[in-house]
This record gives sequence, structure tokens and C-alpha cells, in this order.
Amino acid sequence: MRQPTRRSSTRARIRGALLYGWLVAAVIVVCFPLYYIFEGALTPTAWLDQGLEGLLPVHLTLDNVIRATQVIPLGRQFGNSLVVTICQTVLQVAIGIATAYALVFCRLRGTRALFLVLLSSMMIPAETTLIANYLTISSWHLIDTVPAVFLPFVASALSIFLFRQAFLSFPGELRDAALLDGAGHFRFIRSMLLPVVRPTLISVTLVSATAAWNGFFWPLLVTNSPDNRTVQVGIAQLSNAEATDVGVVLAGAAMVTLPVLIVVLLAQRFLAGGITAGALK
Amino acid sequence: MSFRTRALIAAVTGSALLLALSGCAAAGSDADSATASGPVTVTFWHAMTGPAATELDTLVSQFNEKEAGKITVDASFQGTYADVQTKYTAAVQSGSTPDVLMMNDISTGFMVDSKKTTPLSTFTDKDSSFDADSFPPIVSSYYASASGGLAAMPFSVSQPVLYLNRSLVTQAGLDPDTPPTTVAEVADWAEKIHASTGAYGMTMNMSDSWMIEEMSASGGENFCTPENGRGSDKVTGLDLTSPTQVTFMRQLQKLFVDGTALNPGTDNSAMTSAFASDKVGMMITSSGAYTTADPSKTASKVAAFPKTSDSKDAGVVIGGNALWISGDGHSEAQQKAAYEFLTYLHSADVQAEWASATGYLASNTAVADTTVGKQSLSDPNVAAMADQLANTPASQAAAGCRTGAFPTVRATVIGAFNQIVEGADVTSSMKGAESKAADQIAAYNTAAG
Repeated sequence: MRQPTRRSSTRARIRGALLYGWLVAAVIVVCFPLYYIFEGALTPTAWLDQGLEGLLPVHLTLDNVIRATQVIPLGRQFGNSLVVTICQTVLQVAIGIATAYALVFCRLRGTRALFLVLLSSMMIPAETTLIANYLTISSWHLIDTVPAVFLPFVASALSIFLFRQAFLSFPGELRDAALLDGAGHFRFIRSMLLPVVRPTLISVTLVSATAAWNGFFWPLLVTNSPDNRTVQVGIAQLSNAEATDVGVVLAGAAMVTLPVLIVVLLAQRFLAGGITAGALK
Repeated sequence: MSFRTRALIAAVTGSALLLALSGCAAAGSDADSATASGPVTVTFWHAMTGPAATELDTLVSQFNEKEAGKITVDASFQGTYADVQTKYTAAVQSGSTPDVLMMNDISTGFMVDSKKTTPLSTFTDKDSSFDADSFPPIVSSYYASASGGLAAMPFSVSQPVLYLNRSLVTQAGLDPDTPPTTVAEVADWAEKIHASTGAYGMTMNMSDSWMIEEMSASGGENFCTPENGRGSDKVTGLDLTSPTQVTFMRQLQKLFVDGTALNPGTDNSAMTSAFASDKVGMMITSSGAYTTADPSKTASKVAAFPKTSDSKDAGVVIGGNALWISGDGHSEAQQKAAYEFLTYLHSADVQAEWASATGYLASNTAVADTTVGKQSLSDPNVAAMADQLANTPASQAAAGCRTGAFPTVRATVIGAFNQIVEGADVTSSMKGAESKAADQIAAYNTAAG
């Protein structure tokens, strides 16, 4: 009986080796673009154009980054992006919690129909509402202002949906107990509900924040002057179809990617948990 | 907490938010109210990126300095041409169009159909100092308005040319100084270069149907019917199956199928860097790629775009962009100031600067007499590009197609051509593209009214 055992352990070892080989390959595929962005941001374009030699981080300089900031007011646009991201995320989360709470706990009439209406808004492609939103923003005289960038997105059907699914699993008895102890709606939300649905809260916040940070076309559409733009729109001006200065483009990309990367790395365990939250209910 | 208290909190929060937002709005939106007596502000939307954007900003600030106290141009980047077109459409509906709009070559039909701009000829007719002959003939005919004169001010002009990599061509035993002049000869050279050096023989833009359009024109064939949209009737379809077109497409098909030609797909910059790093012997692309394709200016030879027939109408369609002056909702003073700005950008010295900084061809024939222009033209490659532009006949074929549906049909044609370079039959693929494009153009014509 010794031989089969050895065979199966060899087989397990081979399987393990293959698995690790596959994982290593996957890591390279996923991480190479990131490596290229950051290495390229710090390497002069002349070296990048050399091909493979350009991939070695031996000629590091901040030159590309400095030139990128000369083309566009990156500092100001970073500020705008931060304002937009914070406002949009905070409002989306606050409105999401309030709406989901009303839908789940307030025993109002017609909540089911209302919820379906909310869900159906997710089926409408964003492109079709683009002009309508533009005309609304324009009639409020908000074109070329920072609020115009995030106002149409302060409520999101997706966040409401995710919060509703999380709230549905909250035990009704606990809520009754809290109410008996004299907790009001806000007290209940703050002290009991949110701590329990923390993973959902964090993942919704992250998803909203990354979406807000990465927005491109809408910010481009409603802002005209460089000073009111977000950084995503700003870096678009760095690339050029025919005379590409790869280094400068990568420097811009690196500066925009870095904040998202840090946030995602810090909170990735919540992010993955939140995406599947509600999927199996 | 009672319902009333909650309602109150909601109301207070809501109005506080609104107040904050309107505060921001008031601070940002007073830029466009130019009074008749004070300086006129001209808003200008453009699509220039990279070095061209920097140069354009320089030109704008020079103009503002020159016109200090009278005209201020407020230039801003608005994304790619497609983005600019979407944004302009939205702006038309809300009445917030810019005074001057930069739009690319193929959107000329769309701009004319939109009827929101004042034809440039309205201003040039009243301007005795304007010289209609200062443009190369093909440039005037490309941007001609239906009523005669120009519809828009040509600003950046480019044309495709043939680039030869001197060292690869010489290695193959060919002489770069007697370059091929027809697509058949280019195919022949490409095979030789590929066979003797192992590098790709040739490459060209494949991200849209631009090259098919150009090779149709260089055979004297119209790309669109009727009359390339240059007559009194609107374009209703494409013409892709004339004997000349089928012949050159078969020649190209062979090169791509047997691996002689490099297919860069949608990545034009990959194509240019492949040429610059000696991986391709010949490249057919925009004159604007010169500085990237050959930074030393001596490693390559620039030759005229290859012909596909010896028709006397054969020519090369121009590309680039033009500047449009908004009509509806813009005061006469603003339009006049906008025209001032456009004539400044057309002046010989500015065009010379623009061409030398960006690689575009000068749209003013007087540039050859300026100091900067003379210096640029001392490079034989730049001179070859300028000669090609000056010698392009103002024929219907070379003026190119004008339809507002152009951006849509380009995708259809390149889709069919991509199947051809994979081995599909030329005539049947292009027949398919013709009928699909006819539907798309009909849909556009209905929508445009």
C-alpha cells in the first residue's frame, strides 16, 4: 500500500506546483500594467521607446511628472476630484441608507412597487440620460461648476439595492427590542443597524468612491474651463494620437491611479465581500 | 423624533445644500457675459492635446496680448473630436455653444447640416483684405460652402504620405530616392523588403476606413455617391466596388494575408513606433506623424502618397481640422471678434509657427516666404509634403466625401476591410459594406431632415 500513497502525494505536489505556476502567471498578468505605469512614469520617453530595455527601472527621474503638471493644473484638478468624490460618495451613501431604511423598516404602502421602479432605473443605459441631465444642469445655470459634476449621481439605485438587501437580513426582534428601549430611527441606524451591515457600508462606499473618482465623460461634458475639471479629464489632454510622449502620459496615469490603488489595497477584503453581498439571497 | 421634526430637518438640510451649490454656481458662471462696450470674450473649444495644445495656448495668448482691451479669447480643451461633437450637440440644445469651435475634417458634413454656424464666407465677403487665393486649392474645395466661399476657416491641414525607412529599403537593394509611386509598386517593394530583411514590408492606418478613402481618391474615384456629396444632392451611399478600388484592395489583401504588411489594428502609435524602430520598411500615414516616425529627420524619405490609377482627377484628400463661428445666439460683436481671431490664426506667420511646432501642413501658401516657413522647407521631407499639398488638383475625387454620417460609416467600411485582410472575398465584403452604409446614411439623412 505504500506505492499508491506516494503516487497520490506526488500527484498532489504536481497539482500544487501547477496551481502556484498558474497563480504566479496570473499575478504577472495583473501586476505588469501597474508596474509599467509606475516605472514608465519615472523613466524618460527616450528610454521607453527603446522597447524591452525601457522596462528596466535604471533611469529613474521625476522629469515626466514635472512636465505633466506643467501642461495642466493638476493640483487644482486633484482638489476638484477630491471634492467630487467626497460629495458624491457621502450623499450616495447617506441617501442610500435613508431610502433602504424606509423601504425595509417603515412598513409604508407600495414599497415593493417603489423598489421595482428604483431597480428599473438601473436598466436604463447612462448614455440615454446624458443629454437630459445636461439640459437640467444647464437650466440650473450650473454648467462649468464643480457641483454639476456630482449632482446627477447623488442618489444611486445600486447603493439603495445593496443596503436594502443587507437590511433585510437584520433580525426583526432586535429592532423591536431597540424600539422598546426607546431608540429612535437615527439612534437605531447609528448604533445597531450600521455596525451589523458594516461590510456592505464599506463596500458601497468604496464602489461609489471609485466610480466618482474615475468618471470621465460626464465631467468633460459639463465643465469647460481647466480650473473646474477633474483630474481624469485633465490627463486626457496629455496623450496625443500622432506624437505620443509616453512618459508624460504614464506620469498622468500614475498620479490618477495611485489614490485608488491605495484605497483598494487598504480595503480590499471588504470590497470583494460586498460585490457578492446579496447575490445569494 | 416626530414626523414633523424629521421633515423640518430634511427641509433645512436640503435648502442648505441648495444654497451651497448655488453659491458655487454664482462664482463660476459669469464668464460669458460680455458687454457691448467692454472687451469681447470669445469662447473657443478645441481638441488639441500634447505639444499641439501647448502651442495653441501660446498662439491664443499672443492674440490676447495683441488685442488687449478689445478681445479676449478663452480657449479650452474639450476632449477628442467625438467628445467635442457630443458636447456641441448638447450645447446646441441648451443654447450654450462656444463662439468658435474646432472640428475635424470628417465632421464637416455634420457641422454644415447642423446650420448653427455662420459660414466663413459671410465675413470674408465683407473683408477686402481677405485673400481667397491664400489657401492651397484642395483646401478651399474641401471646406467649400454650398453658396460659394468657405464654410469654415481651415486651421490644421494634413495629408497622408509614404514614409520609407532608408536603411531597410537600401538593405533590400532598392533606392529610397526613386520611391514607388503606385500602390502596385509599393506592394512590389514591400515583398522585396520583407524577403531580404525579414522586417515587415509596409504598414498603414487600419483604425478606420481612412486609407480606403485616400486610395479611392488617389485613383480619381469618388468614395460616396452622388458626386462625393459635393454637388447639389446629399450623399445616399458609398462606392466601394469600382475596378480601381477592387484592384488596390486585392493588392493590399495579399500583403496582409502573407504577413508582408503589419496590421496595427486600432493602435496608430504602435504603428509609428514600429516604423521608427526599424521594424517596418514603408509606412503610409499622416504627414503629422513625421516627428514621431523620424525624430532625426534623416532616417526616412518622405514620398508622395501612392496612386491607384493615372486618372487626372487623382489626388489626396486633406485631413486635419477647421474653425467654425457660431451663429445662433451669438451677438454680431462676438462673431466679428471670432472672425478677427480666425484671420489671425490663418496669417502666414502664425501658420508657419503652427506647422513647425505640430507637423501639420501650412494652410496659407504665403508661409513659404516667412522665415520660419523657409527654415522648415529646407528639410526635403517637409518640402515633399508641401509639394504634394500644393499639387493636389481640386477635383471632386480629391475633395473627398462630405456626409454627416461619415463617422458612422467609417466603422462599417473598416469592419469589412478587416475581413478582407483576413482573406474574405473583396467584392462581396465591400458590397455588404455598401448596403449597410446606405442604410446608415439614410438613417442620418432622415434624422438631419
